[in-house]
Amino acid sequence: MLTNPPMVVVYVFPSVINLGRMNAWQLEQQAETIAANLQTLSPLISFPVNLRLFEYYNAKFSEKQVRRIDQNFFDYSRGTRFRLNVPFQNPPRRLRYLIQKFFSGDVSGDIDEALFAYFLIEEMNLNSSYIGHTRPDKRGGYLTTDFVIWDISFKLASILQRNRYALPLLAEVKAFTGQIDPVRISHGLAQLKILISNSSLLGLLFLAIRNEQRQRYDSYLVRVER
Amino acid sequence: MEHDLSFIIKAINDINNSIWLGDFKKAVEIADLNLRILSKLEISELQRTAIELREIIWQIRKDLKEKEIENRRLWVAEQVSKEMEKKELNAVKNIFGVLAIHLLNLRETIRYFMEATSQVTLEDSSKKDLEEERFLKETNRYRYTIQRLPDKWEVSAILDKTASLWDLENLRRELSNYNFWIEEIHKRRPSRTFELYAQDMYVQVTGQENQVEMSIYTPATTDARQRVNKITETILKLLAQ
Repeated sequence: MLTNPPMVVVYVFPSVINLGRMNAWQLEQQAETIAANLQTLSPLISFPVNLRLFEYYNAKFSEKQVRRIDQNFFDYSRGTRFRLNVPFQNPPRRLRYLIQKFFSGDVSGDIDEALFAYFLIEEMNLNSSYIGHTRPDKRGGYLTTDFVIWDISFKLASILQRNRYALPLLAEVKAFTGQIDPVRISHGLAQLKILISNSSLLGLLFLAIRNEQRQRYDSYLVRVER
Repeated sequence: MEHDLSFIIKAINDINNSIWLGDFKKAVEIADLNLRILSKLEISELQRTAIELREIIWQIRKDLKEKEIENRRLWVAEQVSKEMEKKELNAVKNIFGVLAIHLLNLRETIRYFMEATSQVTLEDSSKKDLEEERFLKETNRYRYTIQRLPDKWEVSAILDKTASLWDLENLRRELSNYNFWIEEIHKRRPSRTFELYAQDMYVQVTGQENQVEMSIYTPATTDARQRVNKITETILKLLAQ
């Protein structure tokens, strides 16, 4: 058993973003604002992640077929990058050997999806039966978000600052292993905008960002409405 | 939308759980039952909305190919929003339509899979091996499958009791007779994780609501299968009590 399981800190972006009439340029600006302000927020909750359960949520809620995401999550959180075999000879002129492996975007996305499910079910007590990953349909060209969530007991009321809200909640998830890319944030906002702009539904953008200095994952919840 | 259609997502999750268990018969039963309920509602209207919206997106993406736009995704999103407003397409209906289509597709996929796997030929010895490696067992308190992997045995189970109600003290007492030592790692409302150690076996157990996953590590002796079967039955029986 690990003595220090990986920690995750969740922050909530303070204002609820109104996407109603935003055009493409305004969405880009909003994404820039979110990215610029992430480091200034106060944490909502922090929790250690049980890796065994993390693997379970990976199997149940992530899109890609990646086994042992628990092991990857541990390595990614701590920033453990494996070293490659490097020959004694100098590399040819103007070339450099690859010394360490890079973190993979697919694995990172998988971590984010499992982490979002873990946060909702383990920390916010949502019923796992009413959380659905609709990504296969998104791939099929249908209009949907990464997750649809029937929070039937309104367990997210305190986060959403409302007692009641229209269901399902719609959620997009984005993961970053290095620099935060505002363009990807704007893509998440755009996807949510299409679905909530003609309805009373609420949206969540869940960002999982590897914090290299603190050797952990930071997650950010951005709440959006029409 | 007048009806509460949250049952669709529960049905999809229940089907996925049965597939996870390898119980395709049960998966089909759940799909059929829920499709019958859906057929009494406005399923065709929901599907129409989802399909119409998909066609709109395709058309907009096709139009995009002839344009020079900087942020293509945002442009598509803006055009889709405009079209939805113009044609008064309902986002909620679309979501339910997508889920209804997903449920139909799942049903078809399982049926196809069941048909394909039922057509066994004498030469198909690999399938026989697979069946030997993975089998489904059902009692009135739990259903489970055991799968043999190169380094371990994996058990997937659905109990009629949720993890929060497990009596681990009872399990500890009973299994101490077999020289097992138990350590609980994680306990929250929906889920629990514990480990069992014995001289020739190590078991990791994860429970989430009424689902259980076990990884069993034991030396590959000739009686390994019997020992794995026995400990699986014992643990599940005690957890379901």
